[in-house]
Amino acid sequence: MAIPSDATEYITVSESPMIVQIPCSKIVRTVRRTGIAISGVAFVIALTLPSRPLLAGKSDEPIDFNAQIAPILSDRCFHCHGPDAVDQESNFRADSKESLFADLGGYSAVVPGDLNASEIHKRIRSVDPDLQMPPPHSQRSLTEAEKTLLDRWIEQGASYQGHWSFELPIRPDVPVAAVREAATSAGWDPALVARWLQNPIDVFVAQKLLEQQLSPASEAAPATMLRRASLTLTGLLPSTELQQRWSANATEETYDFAIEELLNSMAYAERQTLRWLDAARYADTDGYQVDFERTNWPWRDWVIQAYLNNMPFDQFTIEQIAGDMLPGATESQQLASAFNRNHRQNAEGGALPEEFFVENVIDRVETTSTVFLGLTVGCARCHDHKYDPLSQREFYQMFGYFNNIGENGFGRGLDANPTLKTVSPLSTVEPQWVPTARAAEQNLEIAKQGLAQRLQDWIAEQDAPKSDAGDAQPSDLPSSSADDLKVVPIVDEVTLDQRIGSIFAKPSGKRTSEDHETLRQHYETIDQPLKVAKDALDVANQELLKHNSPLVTVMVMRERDGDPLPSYLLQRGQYDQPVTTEVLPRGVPTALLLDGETQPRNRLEFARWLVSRNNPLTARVTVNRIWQEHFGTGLVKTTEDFGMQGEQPSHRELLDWLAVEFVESGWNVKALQKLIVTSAAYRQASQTTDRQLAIDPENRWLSHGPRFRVDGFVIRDLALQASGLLVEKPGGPSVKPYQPDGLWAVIAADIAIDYQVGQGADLYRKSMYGYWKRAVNPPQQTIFDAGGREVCNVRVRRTNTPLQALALMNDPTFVESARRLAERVLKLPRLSDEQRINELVRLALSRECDAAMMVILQDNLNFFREHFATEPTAAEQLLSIGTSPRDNYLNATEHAALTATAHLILNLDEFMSIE
Amino acid sequence: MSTESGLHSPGDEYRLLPTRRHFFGRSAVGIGTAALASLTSRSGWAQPNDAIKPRDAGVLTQYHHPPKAKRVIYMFQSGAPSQQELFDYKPALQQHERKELKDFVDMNQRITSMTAGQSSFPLAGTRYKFAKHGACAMELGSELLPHISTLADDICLIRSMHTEAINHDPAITFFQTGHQLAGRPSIGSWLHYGLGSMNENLPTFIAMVSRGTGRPNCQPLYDRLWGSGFLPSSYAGVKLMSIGDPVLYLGNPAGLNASARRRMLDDLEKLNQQKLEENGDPEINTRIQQYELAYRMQTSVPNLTDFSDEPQHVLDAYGPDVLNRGTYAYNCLLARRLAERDVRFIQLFHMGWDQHFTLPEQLPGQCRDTDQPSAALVNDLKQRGMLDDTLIVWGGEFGRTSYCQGTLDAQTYGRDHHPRCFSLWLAGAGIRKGLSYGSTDEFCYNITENPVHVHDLHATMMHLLGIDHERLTYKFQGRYYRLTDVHGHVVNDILT
Repeated sequence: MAIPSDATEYITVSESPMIVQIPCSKIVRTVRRTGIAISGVAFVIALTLPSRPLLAGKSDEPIDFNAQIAPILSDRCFHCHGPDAVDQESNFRADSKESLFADLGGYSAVVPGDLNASEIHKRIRSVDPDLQMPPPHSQRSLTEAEKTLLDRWIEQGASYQGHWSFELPIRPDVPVAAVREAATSAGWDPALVARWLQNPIDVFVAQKLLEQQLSPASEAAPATMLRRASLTLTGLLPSTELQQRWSANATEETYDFAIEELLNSMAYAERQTLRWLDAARYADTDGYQVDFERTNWPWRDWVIQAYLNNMPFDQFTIEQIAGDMLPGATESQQLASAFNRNHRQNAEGGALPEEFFVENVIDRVETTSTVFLGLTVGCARCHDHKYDPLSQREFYQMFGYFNNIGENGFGRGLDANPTLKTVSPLSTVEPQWVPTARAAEQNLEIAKQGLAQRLQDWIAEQDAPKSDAGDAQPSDLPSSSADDLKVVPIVDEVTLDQRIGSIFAKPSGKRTSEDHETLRQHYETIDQPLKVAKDALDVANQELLKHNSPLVTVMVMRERDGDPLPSYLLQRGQYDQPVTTEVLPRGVPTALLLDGETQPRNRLEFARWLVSRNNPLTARVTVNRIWQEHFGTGLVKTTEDFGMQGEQPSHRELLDWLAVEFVESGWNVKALQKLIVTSAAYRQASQTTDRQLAIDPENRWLSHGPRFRVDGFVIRDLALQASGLLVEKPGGPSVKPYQPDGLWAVIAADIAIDYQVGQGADLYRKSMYGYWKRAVNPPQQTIFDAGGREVCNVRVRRTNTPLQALALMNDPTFVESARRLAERVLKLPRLSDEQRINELVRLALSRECDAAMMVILQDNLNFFREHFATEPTAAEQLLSIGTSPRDNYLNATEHAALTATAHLILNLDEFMSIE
Repeated sequence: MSTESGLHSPGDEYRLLPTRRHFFGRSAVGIGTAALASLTSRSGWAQPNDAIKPRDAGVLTQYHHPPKAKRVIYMFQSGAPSQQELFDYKPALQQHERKELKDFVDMNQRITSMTAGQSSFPLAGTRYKFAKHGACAMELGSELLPHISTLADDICLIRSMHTEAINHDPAITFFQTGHQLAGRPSIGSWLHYGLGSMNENLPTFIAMVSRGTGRPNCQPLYDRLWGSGFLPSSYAGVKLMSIGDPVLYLGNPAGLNASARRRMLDDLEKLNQQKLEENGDPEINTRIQQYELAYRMQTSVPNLTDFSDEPQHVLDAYGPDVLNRGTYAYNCLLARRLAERDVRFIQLFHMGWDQHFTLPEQLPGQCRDTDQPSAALVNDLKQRGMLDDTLIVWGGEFGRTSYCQGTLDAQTYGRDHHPRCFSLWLAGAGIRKGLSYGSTDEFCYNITENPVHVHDLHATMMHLLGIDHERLTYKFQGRYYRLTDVHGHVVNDILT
């Protein structure tokens, strides 16, 4: 870390209840020795430092270096005075404590407590363009508020700390007493206070709310609350049965049961997996321009199973990063390692294998770092990182963990070793069929091995009789080497036989290569060992296919035998510019290691280090990503970047508490989810007041419940669920739902390459199973902000565009869903219009229809009833959309009208929003 | 116009006013409005629309300097047209036909694995005639490009383009995003992000694709070429389809006519409005507006693609394919109609320019597809006075080798990829006319004068649009990214 253990630095907290001066190095050492366990001394400091909004506060409030000063230094100074050792314009380093306080030749950048002696103060206040820092032309100029902060920091003694996320998280005490007192004196209702002191999450959130002079919102209505939890946990509405149970008896206890039920559902596992697929850049094709199909989906099913079984996150990590290297690695563990084989694979004619091998390895380093460490190491590919303590050399030391699998950098993914032939872990096929199929494949390979020799023997045999007795007639040929007469010559065979015959009629020396090819092809159809092996394989495969789980090739990790491939620093990140004078030892950035901690020697040790107690990042980063799923934004908004340039956490203590809790719970993912969704903060109503919007437009202080649009996957799934069309079958090969015609063809290499829409149940599977082609992403998802799965993506983005409106209004998926939703309601016995509308709303929105909405919807239904009565053809047309069957006994006018009303409901902002 | 740099006098500002009015006049929600607000407050130039909150304003509140171009039409020739046949005449190749390239130049370049195994790299001269055109005497391959050759006095031909990538995917990704690997925003997305939208019922960035007849089975394209990379997806280009709805999901479902749709939208707005009042989330209001915008697109796009109002002489000018949807000619006319409707960045992609083998069988078809419509588009814009504020770009992702790939004879010769030099032409707003810029050696192997890198082209394009390429940035993963990465210089030599 940045702070050496022998330095003595003082954190001064003035004007606060306690004035503390503690050598900073002592804190750091304490932290390092005790790991994640609570450290009393350090914690006093953490709690005594009140938090405050960035760049605000009164002049006498103590400055928090990490929250207020470090971001300025990083953003405005590091580019030229930072970790990038090569591109430095001067020796001065603003990222180094030594440099900041060093004697620079009669003066120092920072003299604690002495503004006028501090060079930084002079430079930032200078109006001389030659002296001013940052230079006027740099576009990194400081605002007045930032200059004031720097000045105040110096005046207050210039306390210095290492970057917060590189320090091990320490579980803070939950400030129950302080919050009780503050909330009570702020006038919170005693019941509210009591409620917000139960879950540690709420105590930390309440602490911030009180500081901001905000108060929590009331609890969301029961139906809203359950819908929200169901959506953020499972991506689906709660089942009708669960809704009914809950609405009949909504208590703390039944909420708890409901959450357990959701957490134990397959939908939960599928939803969590979908988000992991984005992080893991999973796709069904290779990417780049040729974009061949690949079959890594058994890995996707491995992830589903892991979430379903609540596999501890440390195990989940180790198996995916290095499952292949675990002692006696099981097939499941080998399959898990496909996480790092979901990279793109280039097969463009003319591409150089060495070049794209390097790209593949770098992709692994970047993906692993982003997903687990929240670090943007990619910057260090070409030069030392500008902001974070990560050198280019260290980047290529990490490269060394991932470059040793003997892969082919060029060609289709399916052929880019290493691979594993396997089936989906979710397969329901009887287990013996998998080894049977695999053995049959091996037998087939064996049969093929002897084929060349048998072919030669056969040809020799055919040639021989001619000289002996000349009795070989062409028509005898197929059965000449087979006793089994099942091979009945048909008409084509005869002509083929004639061709074969004419070949054998030639002297062997006169046969062309085409002749030999014809003979080879023919022989393969009559070779007995081959035929036996193929038949056996067919039987096994048919059994597997019956269960939708063919044996397929998955790209996995597998270390090469022998010495590891050397890793070199690549100048400017270029594959053809290695610095071969030094073989780099494998290693992680030393800034992330404890003093004296040894470097992980291989990928397995690296994986274990990721989830070790000595790793300051993985738990925080993971907790933050899960938090983002529930609240729409992470505690650290920059989910992908916990480095110097990332955003400071809105609730640092809460994040650390959750991280430690997560680790100490045994990396229990479901427990963490439950902790979050049972919190009062999560369960608040989402209504927003003007004051809240003015003070906190992004709701980072959580003064009301989350409200945000769901992604395109969920929108489609919800429509299918409401309509009853959703096929809840987990796993298996990816499927192809409706997609506008020609999307693939117009930009494909050959116009004949087009998307073949699936049939039957395939059209109604969950969106997460939709085929993901990298060159042409499914528009239903990208229109709603899905990433392209080219590279790792962990941040959720949400736009609000007219193309989204067009998709929801006109995509046949939603029209068909509306038709089936209407049909579902019309088939209920003898309902009034009002009751029908209420059913539509209940099925689509998971709540009862209120009076104001009822007025509009009834009016809408009446309008369309009249409309379709006068336009019967239009009614028929509307009811013909989608391939699912229609109940022709229903009155077409009624059905079309209710379809239109249902379609309206599927377009409501509420329908697509978590609220 | 007021700029941060204050590069020009008040007189200039006055002169620019009508242009500005033209810029901002059409739309209340365009780029404009944010920039306008800052301008009006300085000049006291009141505008009734000031109160309207710009929904799609760009991140820049004002231009970095006065723009010359209002919009861009980029005719991307995918696969890499051969400069030796079209733009960069090399008699030395004919003179030394079949001799080894390495006998003349130091071949220190990377070669694709397609020809790396060739034992011989024989020079192949062009089979096609070049001539000097226009008052500027620009030398062009007019046998294959007779129409574009007539533009000589209007265009600037750069013969000294160079790039870093040697395979199609990295090269075209580099041209489109400034980076060889997927993940960064395309040019049009950057412009949308920076400058916002100029119109209120069409996308800001539109891509169109056509298939070459010279080589129908060709290098594919991919959606990320007009994607938004790490920018929000609302900045992605919208691909106009040549099959089905021109914009995905544009058409009403069968059985729902315009009045039914209107009714649905009216009731939808009422219900969303109720929700807004109850909940207060401003996103609900945005959603209401997006549905209205979608509805406007539903009426404006059919009007856009209905060519029945085009006079016959205009249709004739674009050539016989102009009414065939999905052809380059059709897309060229559509490009003009999009330009008229204030779409900022219009990009055509024509596939099939990858002549590794049998170049003489393939190249004439590619040229027939594109020559007349490209020239017609430039002339059409010129006649309408729109060439003055439209930047035209025409070119591919790299060049081709002077040595032959495949069998060297008059009908079968072909050329591999060559990133070290190639040609591309520009026209329109702020571009010098009749200029041949940069040159290559007699074997078209190295640039001998005025190299223009892809980053330089990007910097120059942005410059013409009023943007300093070093100052339009987006913070992602802790870093400030820009289209030109840390490179790029404006090529002032080619600017008026």
